[in-house]
Amino acid sequence: MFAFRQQQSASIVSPSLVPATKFCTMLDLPIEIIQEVGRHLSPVDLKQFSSASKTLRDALLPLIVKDVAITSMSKLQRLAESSAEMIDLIRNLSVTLNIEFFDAWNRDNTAPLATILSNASRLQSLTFQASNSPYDTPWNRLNLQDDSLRGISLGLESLPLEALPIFDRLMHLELQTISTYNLEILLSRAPNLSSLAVTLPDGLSESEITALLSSLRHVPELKELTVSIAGWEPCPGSTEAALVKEVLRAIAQRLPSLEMLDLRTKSYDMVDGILAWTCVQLDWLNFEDFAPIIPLFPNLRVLRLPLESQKRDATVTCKAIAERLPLLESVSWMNSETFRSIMDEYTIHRDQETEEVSVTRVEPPSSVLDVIPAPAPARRGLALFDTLFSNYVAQDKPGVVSDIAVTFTALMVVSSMVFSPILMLFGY
Amino acid sequence: MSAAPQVTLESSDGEKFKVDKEVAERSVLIKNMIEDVGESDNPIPLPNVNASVLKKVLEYCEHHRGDPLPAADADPSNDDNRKRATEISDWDQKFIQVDQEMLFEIILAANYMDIKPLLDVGCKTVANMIKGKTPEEIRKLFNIVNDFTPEEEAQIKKENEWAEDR
Repeated sequence: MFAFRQQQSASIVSPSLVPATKFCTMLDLPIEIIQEVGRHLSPVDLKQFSSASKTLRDALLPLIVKDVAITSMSKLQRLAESSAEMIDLIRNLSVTLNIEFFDAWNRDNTAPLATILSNASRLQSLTFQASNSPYDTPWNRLNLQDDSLRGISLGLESLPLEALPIFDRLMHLELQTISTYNLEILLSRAPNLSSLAVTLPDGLSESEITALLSSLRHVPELKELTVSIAGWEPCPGSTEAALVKEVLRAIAQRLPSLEMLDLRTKSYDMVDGILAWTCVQLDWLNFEDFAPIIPLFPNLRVLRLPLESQKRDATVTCKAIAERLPLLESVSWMNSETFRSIMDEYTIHRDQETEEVSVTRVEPPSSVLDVIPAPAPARRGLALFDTLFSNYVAQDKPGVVSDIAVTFTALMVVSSMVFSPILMLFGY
Repeated sequence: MSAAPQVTLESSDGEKFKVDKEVAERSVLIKNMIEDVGESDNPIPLPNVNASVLKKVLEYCEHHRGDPLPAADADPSNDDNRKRATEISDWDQKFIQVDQEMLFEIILAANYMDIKPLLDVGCKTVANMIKGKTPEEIRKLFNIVNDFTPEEEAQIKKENEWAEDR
């Protein structure tokens, strides 16, 4: 550990070279130990400590820049103006757009994120997402102007492809609603990617799907894939089901080592001419349709599915899936009764001798159930609001999975067009 | 208990310390040396540690002789948040109340002798001294010379800005 091995060998070879007793100070500590001290400091203290001297700065910069979270255009621009050496120390980068950031993003034509990415060759994870905050999410802007979403450009198309490094350490990529063109550029430079989460800007539109599938050929080693749908391009039910099945076949073909597939999707959509939150229920989830596709994912350990078709007993479906997938450990669905963001999760057990499969339902943490009231289906507006509210409250609870960005788009619409007393009721 | 195997350690300034093997083996360096060389009556030389520091280090090892050994080096970059908790037990806190020079010597010795829990106590103590201080106060406390040019200082201020309020 640390530098002791070098010191040890040095001292054994020539103990006489060890300096005689001299006053030992902070700067006599090896870099590894200064960094170890830095790990016990908050970001603010760390920056103060690093500003005391050059030696300290050099030792601590890798810690300061390791995890970078950008939440405004001015910060993004300042980071883009930093030295290339410093940018190259970034390991985990996340960019979160609120409305102000989103508007500034659209006005800006210097593509600061592209500049940063072209120097951040040692990136391990990259997240680009819309803010979760109910009144500050740019999803409204994205969708209200137009009934289909436009993917956001990261500005990568403004660079020559060679300007972008090969991100050979990039393992995790999470991209909400960026243009599929930019997605493909990134994936083509991330040969070792293991986990990818994308929110498709324009739902199941054929061009989006084609672009996604085309991008996936760059990352054949992918282990975890999450696909969510943001906008929804209405198309007849059977076409849609057929399309999803086709898409799944194509994914299986391109990603043979997939271990986690997450398809739970909430979307928002124009329903009867107004923007509303919907929960995707796809016919293909009828087990008979789904059964032939399942074995195409032989390495799957975790499967997360959209809303379950209520015609079947979940444990029966679960067992049937598990019998076709020898490595499967867990299956979950979005909760069909409440459209809550919590999942109905089932763990799979296999008897080692008889190979018989049994299924147990995982109880959600009681704290979550306490917080979330079940919405009454008769009052659609209110029920919708219940859900939105509970998502907001529950978002920090462990084990709760929520697509806040999606749901809160509907919140804005509801609050502007339905009755304001509800707002007071919930204490906003 | 009197039959407990013992080993002799020799400090850089030639002083010899006879201690229980169990105590000495809190140091992974010594544990590995004993495993490599086998038991012997020859003193184990520690040319990087002087007698006053070694005495202090052995006091720590003696007090913690029965503690479970820390898990094999986990990825230190992985648990930054947990590490930010800078609590030190009462005994350790008293133990580490020494002057700055001794503190750094103990840290260096703990690093060299590979005694992870002691290194942790030392680093946490230094971190606690730094908390809430300005760069100027930190310089004063640790006798550090400000070797930045005014331009560099301005650049650092700028570099620190984008990372604010994380």
